[in-house]
Amino acid sequence: MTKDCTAINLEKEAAEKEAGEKETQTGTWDRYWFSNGSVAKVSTIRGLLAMITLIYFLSVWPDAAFWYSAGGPLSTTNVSEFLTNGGLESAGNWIVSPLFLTEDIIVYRMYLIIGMATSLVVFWGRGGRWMSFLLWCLFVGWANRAMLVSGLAETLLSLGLFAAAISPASSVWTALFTKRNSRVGHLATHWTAGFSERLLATQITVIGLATWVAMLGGSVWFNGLGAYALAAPVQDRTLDWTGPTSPLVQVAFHEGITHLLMIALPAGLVLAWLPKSSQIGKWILVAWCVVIAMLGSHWLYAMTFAVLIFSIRPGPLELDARMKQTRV
Amino acid sequence: MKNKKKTKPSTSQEESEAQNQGPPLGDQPSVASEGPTTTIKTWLSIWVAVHLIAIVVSFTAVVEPSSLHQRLADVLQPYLRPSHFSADDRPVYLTYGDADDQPHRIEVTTERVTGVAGSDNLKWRVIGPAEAGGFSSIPGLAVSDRVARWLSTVAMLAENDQPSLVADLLLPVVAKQISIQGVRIVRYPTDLNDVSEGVSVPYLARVVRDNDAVSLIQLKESRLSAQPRLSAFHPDRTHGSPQVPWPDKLIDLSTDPLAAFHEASNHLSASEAMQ
Repeated sequence: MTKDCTAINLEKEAAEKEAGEKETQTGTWDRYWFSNGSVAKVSTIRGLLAMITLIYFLSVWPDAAFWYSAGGPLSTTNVSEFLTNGGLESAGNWIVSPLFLTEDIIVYRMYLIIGMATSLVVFWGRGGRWMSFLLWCLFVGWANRAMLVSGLAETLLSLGLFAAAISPASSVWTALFTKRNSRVGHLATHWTAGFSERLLATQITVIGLATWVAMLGGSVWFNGLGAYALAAPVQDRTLDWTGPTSPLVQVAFHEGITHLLMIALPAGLVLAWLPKSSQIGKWILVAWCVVIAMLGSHWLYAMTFAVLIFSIRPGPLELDARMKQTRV
Repeated sequence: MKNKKKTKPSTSQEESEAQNQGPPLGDQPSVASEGPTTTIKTWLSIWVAVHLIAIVVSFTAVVEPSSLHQRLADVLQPYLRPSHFSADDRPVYLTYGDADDQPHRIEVTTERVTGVAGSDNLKWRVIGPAEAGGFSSIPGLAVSDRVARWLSTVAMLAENDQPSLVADLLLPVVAKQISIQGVRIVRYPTDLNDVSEGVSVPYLARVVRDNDAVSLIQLKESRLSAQPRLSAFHPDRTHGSPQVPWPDKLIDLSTDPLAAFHEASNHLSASEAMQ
């Protein structure tokens, strides 16, 4: 009898433990994705992404006529012929943009003007989250139209703009001003802001790790030439680091930078997710972006990467705790 | 365990109290918000999982994916491409220091291009968006990046024997200027290349104009090639296998080379069939 009771108790305890673990697991997922986040913080990130998008739209203005006007290398007619001749029609089916409907360069210029105006509106936190989604749509429309000539910065920006648009809108300066004047105002929170922030952070972590894994596939990132390989095509680089007086030509220097770049990316990501070392991790990643931008002239890519890094927040309830402190 | 269970609800209650200090949130931020419903949480969780898997698959598929990996990436294209979330073979790895990363330029000439050998003696000039000068011509900025991506794609296609695709990308540039008689893609060496390696030309073409039509004829260096040699039938050298004798008439290569080729092909096919 006693044995039976003990067995039943043990079973009950095991079942309770299992249920508890299950609850903890579900709770962790829910807390991570659906806890409240600071609207101001996401708005700052979104505002900065909007500013980068504005720079992007400005940068495509000078050569838009060359690529997309009637008879240009990427005019609708030529792109269609290229896809047909290459047997790539199926791939082209999923590259959607309203700009494929016209070759009139005035329409392209108007599109850019609307894109720039929307970037500014989002930067100032006007128009709500729908304005942010509109900016994302405009940006994707252009990036898809660019097709062959669009790079990695466009993909990063698209992912960033979309994730940031999920949060409610607020001016990029809200965080800075309210921090000085009103603590409660700064702590305006919403679960969509938390979700948006988590999505931004998870995306950039995944992309950072994928970048690192992809870098491992190239011998230059092992033999110490990676940093030099970034700077080597001097005709395509804003800054020439290969001159005789440049420190990069020293073997020890470029090999050291290469190994640091390979170590800094995963180490920075890991540290950024640890509560105690989060700031150090983020600044390591920012330094990584600066080096990549300076050596490889990957300006827009590095700027976008650096902005997205600041979405990483290790503790799920950090803001709620701060909010409670404010109330007390 | 029990203690934890007891404390949990109170903590969440405090949190919700702390959060519910104002009206529900619309597009503009306020201090208060309640979490999503279970249904929304479920759907968002499913979407997040699919979204993150799609990004991982896309970003890791840029370096020699397996057939399974590639198939998975293809399945996810309807989601990744319209949203421009796809890495799409873009250099996620930043650089491997290979030929694609070398600087490329498109050059044209107004002189007649007769072949690869003499092309270096002609006068070439760089064209493209950068020729306007100013902000657009600063290397490493967005315009320069776009030209680099365009030309490295053209060079890659040329090296993979896809002249019609190369023509699709280059013709619009040269067709507009009637004086252009030749076009080439130039690849500059970097410090990572061998010292003896100079400027290479992955693509060289003559521009042929016939009334309104413009076409590009790619010029390649003549290469040594192996041709099948056929000898006349000698009964003495056979070892029991049936032989097909040469036809009596001699094929005149100078008058009809295509017919000559077919004749020779038919003859070889017949020989193989009999054997």
